[in-house]
Amino acid sequence: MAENKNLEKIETEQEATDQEVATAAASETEYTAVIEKSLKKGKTVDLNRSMKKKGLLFLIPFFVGFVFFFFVIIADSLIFSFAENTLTPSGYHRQIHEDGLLVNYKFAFTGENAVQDVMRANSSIRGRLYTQILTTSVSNLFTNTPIIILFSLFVAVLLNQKMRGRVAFRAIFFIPVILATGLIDRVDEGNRIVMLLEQGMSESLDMGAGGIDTTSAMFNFQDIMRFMMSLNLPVQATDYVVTLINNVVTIVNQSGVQILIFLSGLQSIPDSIYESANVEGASGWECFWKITFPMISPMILVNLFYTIIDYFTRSSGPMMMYIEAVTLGTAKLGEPAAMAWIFFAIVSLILVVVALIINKFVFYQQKES
Amino acid sequence: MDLKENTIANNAAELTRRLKLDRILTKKNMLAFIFAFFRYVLLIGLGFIILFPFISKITTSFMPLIDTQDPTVVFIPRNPSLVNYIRILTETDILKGAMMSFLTSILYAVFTTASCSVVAYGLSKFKLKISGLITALIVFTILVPPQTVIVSIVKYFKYFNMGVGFYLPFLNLGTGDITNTPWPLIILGITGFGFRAGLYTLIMRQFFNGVPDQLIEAAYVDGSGVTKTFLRIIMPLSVPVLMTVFLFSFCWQWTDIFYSRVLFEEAPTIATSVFALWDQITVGQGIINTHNTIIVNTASLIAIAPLIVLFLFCQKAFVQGIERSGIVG
Repeated sequence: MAENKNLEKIETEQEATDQEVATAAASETEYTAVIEKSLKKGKTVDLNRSMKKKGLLFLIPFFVGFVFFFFVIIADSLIFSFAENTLTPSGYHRQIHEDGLLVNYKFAFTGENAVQDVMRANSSIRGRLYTQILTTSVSNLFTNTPIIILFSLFVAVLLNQKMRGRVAFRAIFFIPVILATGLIDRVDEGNRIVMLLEQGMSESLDMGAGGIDTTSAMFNFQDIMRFMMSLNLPVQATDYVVTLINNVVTIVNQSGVQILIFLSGLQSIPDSIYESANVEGASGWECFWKITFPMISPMILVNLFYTIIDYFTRSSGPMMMYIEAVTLGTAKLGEPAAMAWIFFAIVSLILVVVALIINKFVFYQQKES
Repeated sequence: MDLKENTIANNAAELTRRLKLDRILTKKNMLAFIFAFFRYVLLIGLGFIILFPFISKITTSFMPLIDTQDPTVVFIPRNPSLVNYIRILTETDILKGAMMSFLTSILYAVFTTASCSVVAYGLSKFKLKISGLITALIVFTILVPPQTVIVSIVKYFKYFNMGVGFYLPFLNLGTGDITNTPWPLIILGITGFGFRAGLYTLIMRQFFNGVPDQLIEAAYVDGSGVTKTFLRIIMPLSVPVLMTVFLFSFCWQWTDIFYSRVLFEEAPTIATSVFALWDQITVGQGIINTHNTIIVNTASLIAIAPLIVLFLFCQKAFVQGIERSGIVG
């Protein structure tokens, strides 16, 4: 027994010294003090562990923020959605509603809580119910997202080519990323409402100086519709094209970050792959589908995620405007919270499904260790 | 001798190759030219779509009332004047809002950049076991739309006690109202939980992943501690990406009306004062006409003017920073 113990001791000591030699060679000065200290105490040293402790210090801001801000707010909002809340001068007062915990969730689907305020609410949410907005939000996602992805990929490929004025073009395409958020987004939305209202009031075609709405100022729908009608295309196709053209400005403005992500992906593809493909006689078309497309397929997943999240969370989106209008318009606090959490659950579900489907088609390069 | 012969043979081969290729190249050149032509048409057209709202805002901002009532005036003012600008600058408190915006945005951007880079470095370079979990949590923080928790955010800062009151409600801690001061944004900045701050952390983490480990190990060998390595070696390396994140957070905070509207009700920022103008003109007066929208648009133009200047100066660094980081999942 005693012998066995001794052997074990020797082995552990051996291990300890091995470790010391290896790590001390890697970084002498930082560790010497630690090693000496622990040698005096007769303990084995795990230098990686002491390093990791320092790594944890770097994460302190996140831990503090998560525990003392984010979790508090999330939990609070969830509690809101399950309770009846009233705002009193001394603070918020909450109690369990007599109809049960899910009363706010039931209300979201059945309640007659249409936003009537003309100016605050954009025309797409005025006078409509939560469920209507929910369905249009989700169905619009399926038409908008593929277009944004295709468009941003296309533009990124164009911007990645060598040409004159590339820097200027890039600068222009990144303008929406910085400027077309928040305020400008909302002001343009307002311009659109004013346009519609004026059109309804005067029925006149000359809009004077107010013609700030870009799409209708630049395109003439009637011509396009007539052209498509003359081709005997199905009505759905015509409708789709018209909505697309209607959304050109929105699509261009919402693609900024996606273009950036695709560009960075395109630039990380080494030139040598294209060169060898050229030597083998591959055409540009083949190069795109056989090299570029697989190489940036992870970016497509990232961009899909970003587009979906951005579509749902940008403050000019119909659902977000609706929730905001209900929050600011009514004294009730539980119902908007319940609406928002239902929406969040649906978004998360969509994201998971998209991730599961797309991930099968994504080509991952072997990671170099 | 051998060398000379070789070069002559090479030259001859080159010449014949070129002569042969010439015929093919003309066709190829044509195609390339057509392609380049369409590329420019497309890019210029799309660029125009992006710039058009700004251009039309700028030209219409110089229109006095008389031009807006004239249907023959569309984009170019007939009697250009600065009357709209003068009205906005003198009659509204947009300049006060600009001061508030500048203070909050710069504090928020500095703290956010600092905290996001620290957290990202911790996630990227220490091979911690919880890194994966924390990254997932950061993605979750981006996923939750701020509108979902709007009421709770207002409540948190109106009855502020550092969140301790939530965990220990029986203590009956006093609360303080810190809305209408820059403090909420400073807190959001330091903890890195502001608007889309999770995205900045992910961008930074990706950038640090690209920094070779050997560099850091070499620094350790030379006797530099963890903090010193981070501050003296990593930070100077990551200036482009730091600048990108700083620009992002500054600009998005500057134009933000979501947090600003609920947290700065009595001390409006520039974005909320423009938005208030919108409400005041359209809802308050009940008059919706072209002139009023032009006033609002001019105000929004004044509001983003500093950002345009900033973007023009930092454009190159901004684009480089985002391209180098490569936001790969």
